[in-house]
Amino acid sequence: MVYEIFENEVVMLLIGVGVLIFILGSRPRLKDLPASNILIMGFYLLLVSWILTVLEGFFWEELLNYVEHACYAVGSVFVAVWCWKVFGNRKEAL
Amino acid sequence: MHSVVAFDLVTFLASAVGLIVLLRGWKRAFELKTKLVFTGLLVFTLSYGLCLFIEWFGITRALDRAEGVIGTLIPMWWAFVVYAFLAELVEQKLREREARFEELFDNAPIGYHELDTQGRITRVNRTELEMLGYTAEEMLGKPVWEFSAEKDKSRETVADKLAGEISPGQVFERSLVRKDGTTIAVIVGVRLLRDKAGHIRGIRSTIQNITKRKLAEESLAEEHNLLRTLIDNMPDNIYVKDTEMRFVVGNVAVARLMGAGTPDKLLGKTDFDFYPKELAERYSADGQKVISSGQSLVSREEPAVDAAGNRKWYSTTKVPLRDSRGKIVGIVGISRDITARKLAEEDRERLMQTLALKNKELESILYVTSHDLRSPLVNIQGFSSELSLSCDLIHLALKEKINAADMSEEVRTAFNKDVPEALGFILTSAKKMDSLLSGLLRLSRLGQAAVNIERLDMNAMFTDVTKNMEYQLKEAGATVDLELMPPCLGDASQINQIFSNILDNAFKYLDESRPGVIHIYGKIDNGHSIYCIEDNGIGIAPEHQGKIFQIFHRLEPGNKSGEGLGLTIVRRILDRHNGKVWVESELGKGSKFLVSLPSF
Repeated sequence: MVYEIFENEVVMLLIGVGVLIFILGSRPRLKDLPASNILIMGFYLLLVSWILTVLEGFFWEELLNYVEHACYAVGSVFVAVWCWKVFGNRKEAL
Repeated sequence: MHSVVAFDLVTFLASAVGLIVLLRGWKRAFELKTKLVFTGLLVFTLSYGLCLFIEWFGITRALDRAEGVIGTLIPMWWAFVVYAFLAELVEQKLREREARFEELFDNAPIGYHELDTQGRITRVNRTELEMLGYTAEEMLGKPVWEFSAEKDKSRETVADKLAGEISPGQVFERSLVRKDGTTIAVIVGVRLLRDKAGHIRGIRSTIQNITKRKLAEESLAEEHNLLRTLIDNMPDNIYVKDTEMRFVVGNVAVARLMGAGTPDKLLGKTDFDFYPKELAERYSADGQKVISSGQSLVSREEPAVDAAGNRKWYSTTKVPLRDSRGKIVGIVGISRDITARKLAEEDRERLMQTLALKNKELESILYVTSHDLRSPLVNIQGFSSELSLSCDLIHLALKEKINAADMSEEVRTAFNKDVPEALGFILTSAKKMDSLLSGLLRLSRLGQAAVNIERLDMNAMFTDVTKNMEYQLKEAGATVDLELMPPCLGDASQINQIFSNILDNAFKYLDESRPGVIHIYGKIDNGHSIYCIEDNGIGIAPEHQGKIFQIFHRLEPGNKSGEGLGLTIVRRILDRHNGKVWVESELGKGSKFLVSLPSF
């Protein structure tokens, strides 16, 4: 078995973990954002995809790659939904 | 593999949709920098999705590097996004806090202003502007003393404040001039503003409008003064005591009575400090009774001793004093000097006793006189009759000699005329005197007779009286019209006597030129039964109306029989029954005798 690690993927993961720590530390304040749960859920999904990107170099390459792309897609949908709730829905009070 | 491409396509499309929605709602919420950062995130995600999508289709491997760079930028950009949002939230909170502070500052219930080191107004809140009627432009930059009614004093105070010579927390009462020229009373609170080095850089003052309070205080002071003047100038003793019977308020009169000098010297003291122990104990007990029972003590007459030791009498009223919750916190007392009245009452009582004694003596003399005079009168009557009889016998025996020629004319006249005539006068006078003495005796007995008060059926009584006078009624040829009578209280035999006497007079003084009609009726008025005996007799001249109740007064002494005692007896009986009699009459038309007796 050949283990393949890409540097940019590791850097991406490390920055993502840093952001996660930052988000967790600022959670009470971020809750003041409208529909903050959706946005943060989108971030979590992207974080999962970054983790899977690194892990797929070690095992279950195809499966993890598949899940990684799925997480990317769902995370992007969450972000799009957040955009819709905040900027698209005219009735939403900001 | 195709599924992965589909996911990448979804990533690409979702990012595109998010970006479009963001751009469409660009004006809504968040600051520009936050929007830009978020836009960057969406653009990177969009680009990344596009790279992946294209890469999987194998169009070019050159995108690998771009994908790597964009993929690394995305988490970094998330960090920016989160940071931008957080920064904006913090800023928003600050703005809200500042707005709240501004609102609080402007809408505070008291006025605020800040002064610079020259005493010029640098900031003023809306409350103070409304209080003074100025706009902010009219006040800002002007020295604060320009708005004061006491400019010099205000300038000095500001200078002292800026020099730090006024202790923190000190407040001042000032008068400020409103834009319309009126003045308002305010309390000014001061706080010095210092920079980080501790140097004074200005003053922040609070302004509290106390005009209403001042007016209320002045009004209260006026009322207090009015009340004080009123109670101090009243001759009555007015005081307030607490539950321990200590004086809380006392007027000049009470201070003078107790020898305290001024009302102030009464405060906090009790009756024990001024009065003998037994009197003080009595007053204290009365006060405590009012407090414990909550019942007022009204017009109680009680003795007292003034500062000079003179014995006095006071009529005292003590009422419980309650606080706003109804709890009794003391008593209010008002006492009036009734010594003069008491002395007058004692004098009157003494006089009444003397008068009663004299009356009794008089009645006794009257009784004794009328009774004892009758014995010699009876002798006079008896012996005069006997003398008359003897004279008749002598006259009969000496008739021939008396009428003989040798008898002088004087002797003959004396025998035939003078002696019988003189004896006739003696007998008539004795008879009259007997009648008068009988009347006096009856009158004196009336004063001694017991009065047995009972409820009387006056219908039965009048029927009885008129029945007993049936003969006189027929003689006079009169008719009696008797209505239903209200009952009354009285002694049956004496009341009977009253109406018998009045009716007797009515029959006696009927007008012979017309048929006599006597109308008897009655009513109840204000607790009294009033009976009226109205006749159509000869009437009484106005000059006689006031005399008819006097003893031995008679209207027609020559023509009518009687001693002139009937109406005197009526009045005497009514006096003993708390009743009244009066007459209304018109000469030639008739009389109306009205008798008032207690009805219950």
